[in-house]
Amino acid sequence: MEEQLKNNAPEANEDTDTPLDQNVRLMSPTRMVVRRFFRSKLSIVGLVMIVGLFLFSFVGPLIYTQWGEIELDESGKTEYATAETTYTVNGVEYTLHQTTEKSLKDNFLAPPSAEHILGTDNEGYDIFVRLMYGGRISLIVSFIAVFLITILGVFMGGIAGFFGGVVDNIIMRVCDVLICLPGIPILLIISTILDASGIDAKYRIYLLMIYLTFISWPGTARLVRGQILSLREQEYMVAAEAMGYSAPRKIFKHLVPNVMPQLIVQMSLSLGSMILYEATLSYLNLGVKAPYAAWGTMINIISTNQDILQNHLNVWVPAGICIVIAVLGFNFVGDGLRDALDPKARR
Amino acid sequence: MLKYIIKRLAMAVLILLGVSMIIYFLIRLMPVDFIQSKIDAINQGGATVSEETVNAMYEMYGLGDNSFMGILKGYFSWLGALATFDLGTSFVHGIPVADVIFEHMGVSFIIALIATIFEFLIAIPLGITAATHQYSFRDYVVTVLVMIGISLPSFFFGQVLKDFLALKLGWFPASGLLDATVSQAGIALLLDYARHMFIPILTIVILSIGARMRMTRTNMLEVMNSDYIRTARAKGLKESVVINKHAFRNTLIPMVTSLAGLLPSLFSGAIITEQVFNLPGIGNIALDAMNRGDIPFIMGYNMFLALLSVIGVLLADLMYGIVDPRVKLE
Amino acid sequence: MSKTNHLSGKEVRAIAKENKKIVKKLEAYKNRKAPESEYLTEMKDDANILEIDDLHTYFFTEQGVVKAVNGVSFNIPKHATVGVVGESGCGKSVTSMSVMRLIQGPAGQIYSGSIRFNAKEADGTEKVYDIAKMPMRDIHKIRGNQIAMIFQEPMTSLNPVFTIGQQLDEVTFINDPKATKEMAKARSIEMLNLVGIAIPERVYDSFPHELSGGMRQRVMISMALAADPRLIIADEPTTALDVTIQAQILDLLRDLKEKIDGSIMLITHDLGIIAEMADYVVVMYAGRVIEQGTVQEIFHNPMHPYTIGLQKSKPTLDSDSDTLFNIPGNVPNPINMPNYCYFRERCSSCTKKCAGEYPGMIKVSPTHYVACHLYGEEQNNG
Repeated sequence: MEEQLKNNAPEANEDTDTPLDQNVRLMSPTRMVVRRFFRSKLSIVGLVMIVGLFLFSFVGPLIYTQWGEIELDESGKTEYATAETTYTVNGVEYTLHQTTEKSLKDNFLAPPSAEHILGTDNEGYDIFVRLMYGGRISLIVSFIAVFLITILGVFMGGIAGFFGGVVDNIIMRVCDVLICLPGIPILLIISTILDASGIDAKYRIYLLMIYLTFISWPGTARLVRGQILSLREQEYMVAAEAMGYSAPRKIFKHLVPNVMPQLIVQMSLSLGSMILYEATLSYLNLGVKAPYAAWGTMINIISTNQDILQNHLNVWVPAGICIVIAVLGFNFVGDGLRDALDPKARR
Repeated sequence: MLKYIIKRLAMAVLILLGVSMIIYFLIRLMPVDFIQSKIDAINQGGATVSEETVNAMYEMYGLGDNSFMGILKGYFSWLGALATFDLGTSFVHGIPVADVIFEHMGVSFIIALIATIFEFLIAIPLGITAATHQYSFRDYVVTVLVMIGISLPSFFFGQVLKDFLALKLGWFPASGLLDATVSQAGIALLLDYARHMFIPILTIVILSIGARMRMTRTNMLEVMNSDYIRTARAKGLKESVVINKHAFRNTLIPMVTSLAGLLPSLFSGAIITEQVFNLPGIGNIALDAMNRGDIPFIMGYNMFLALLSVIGVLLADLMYGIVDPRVKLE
Repeated sequence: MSKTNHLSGKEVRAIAKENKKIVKKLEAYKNRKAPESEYLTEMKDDANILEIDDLHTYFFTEQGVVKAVNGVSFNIPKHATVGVVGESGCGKSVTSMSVMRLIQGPAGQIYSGSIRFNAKEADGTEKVYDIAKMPMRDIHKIRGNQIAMIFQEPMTSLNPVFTIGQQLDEVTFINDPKATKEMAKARSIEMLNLVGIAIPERVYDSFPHELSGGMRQRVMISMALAADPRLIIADEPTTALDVTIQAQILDLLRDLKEKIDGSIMLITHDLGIIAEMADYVVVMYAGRVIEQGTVQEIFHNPMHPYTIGLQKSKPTLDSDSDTLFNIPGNVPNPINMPNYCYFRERCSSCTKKCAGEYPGMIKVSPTHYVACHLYGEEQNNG
């Protein structure tokens, strides 16, 4: 055993002239993060998933232009059914030729074909194209929401942690109240309010996301506040104070590098949960509404239509897979980032 | 200790007041008008309702004045009734809200309870092996399972299971809680319940197991790196004792704490899952109430949820004091 | 450090690949099943309880291989106290952890060398194990009952959720599975008494957080003593404590040394403690032993410039100068160590020879060895 190992022994550096300190060659911190991130195959898979979805949703519609998001396939054929009935009246045979015209304007529930890669849905929309547009909505909406949550959370948490005392107390109690609000029920209520206010179906999902921001910021705020509080306890902060550094400078200089890694991780993980939220809302018919496409909306149809659930998997399964890929992708990346950025992580 | 609890309870009441106010105002802004639909129904029946009657009805339900002061008045009258433990009467069901909640809570609770038990039984051992064999194949598998569990949308996954297990294979019923076509009793009845609940429970377990495994793994990893684990090893304890006694007892602290946090989800009903499988649980009832503007019920249900989460947080803190000898509640 | 000195991506990948290969092999070796005969061996000298022989303990990090212990050899005679001294990061703790096989894998691995330990079985017979070759599943044969360890951090080294009593009783149960609860408790109380705890019954029922740091360290010591080990490794037992408590704990250790029939391996960076406690001294620098000898030899006749520097940097009242002596520079980071005396750049008495290979061990007296080019040619390490 030992002999075997000896062969792999890392060679001693034969160079006898360079001083010891310069002999040590380390990884640059950036490379370390990048390396840690890419060490995990899951992070790579996640990255590929997300990049793929982005290309699919934003570049896809530019390339695949056969159908639009709300363009019906009106190529439904007119079918003629002929029936012949023979009557015998008083010994004489009469043949009745009967032709019925069955006009199908919209080519709905078409199976996958060259014309429609994934077929059409119950209205006659091209599913493949609607997946792309649904992805646009999901990605845009969740990025906006996470962006807003982070800004609001950092701002509120920063104020609470920095000023402390009454301000901190008020903000934290508001957080408590918001955290106790039941999520989906309230979203349902808000959604019906939006329905009545006559807002364009296209924009209502953004308003819902603003509401989601409103109830989701406490998590980020608590993170930032906690960081500030623990930073204030640290010796180098006391030292900085003693040296007479001004307050904002103190916060920016020390807080940003300390809280940034955690914020980035939290952002990427909440991107996943925002996509789930959006999809759930759309599924409950509260988010994006017809005729606009969203992954959740595309699945909604099966809650009332047993036939599609059972016999037309191409209508609803792809949308579900897209949701899973998106959420999984963001979670993989978030997890990889957590490992890469956490200085405690070791291997 | 008592002082701490009293202080926390006072805080909880304040939080609940805040929550109730927000919910009430939102509900009153809801355009879904129960009375209008009721009047429409009467009108359709051929009778006509006079303006006066309509106004009287609005007045009777306390919805007459939609100005800010009117809503505020409505809120305080709701609050006054609450002080006497009266949540009002459900518009849709015509019986007290509390009764509706209790009537449908049972189904939701049983499903959630069974699901939670399975969740813990499966997730904890898997989370522990993942942590004690960090970076091994096992760990990889668990990590992927965790990710998939937390990434699946409940409505989609529920429908997939329903389509596959119930409709395609026909092993289980697709929806409802009981087979209405036959009358059953005793064991047969119980079995029928079990058959109907199987897929919903399976859905919930698979969806919730990921987060639990991740939590167990993270905690266990943290504990395994601590100095007292090194001490335990240095004592000469077998690795299994080190893990199952010294490390596990410490991971119990966050675990038990999170158990108390589960309280709301045990009683609140899984809205989406119940909707997918058409179960008469409280979540499904609430969804229906919200679509029909049953203000007292929505109010009561949401407050019930808020109350549960406030109690959950409080209970978690108390449990923390019990399982962790270092924590003294002040 | 200049930018050009960073590792390139290619190098990093090469390191990771190489590490993975070696670690996999070593892990498999650690987890193997092996008959006892495979790791039974003979002591070189029966007067020793522990013989560390050319021990290499490496950490396979993504930056490269850190040779934390790089060819360390020294012996611990029976009934003796051996002090291991050196700056932080010199590998003294890693050496002690290697003896206990507590090196955290997969990164940390005993790469080669042997650690021969003379174990006394329950029936009184002696057996010599090579600890470095023992599979992990058999390691409980030596941990606790043969070699016990006292750690540096008394605040975190006790399990917070069990009482002192529960943690102490455990040791008795490991040693004697047939022991009853009462027997274990009696033994634990006896041990607490031994380490000078005034109200052992109360401490027995306390949780660790209810005790002060000094008390916890006493508990740790009683825990180490409970199994009646042949060797106690004390890894900086007083570093985390107040000065007054330090003195108490050292007194206690000295008293115990008289009472117990065993050896002590005392790891510290404090020469004062060594002078008070140890019979033999091992001086380590950057993962290697640079000088070893009896306490008299090291203190009255230090030979290695580093040992001399260490002693000079100790504050004394009767010193004429008002500034403390300090050795310039830092302990080098032990990645890619070159093959020349690691102390060269900090040494004030460098000669031409120092440009050459790493110096071998030079025998000064039967007990005194030094690794320095100042003292002539390498001799056989007898």
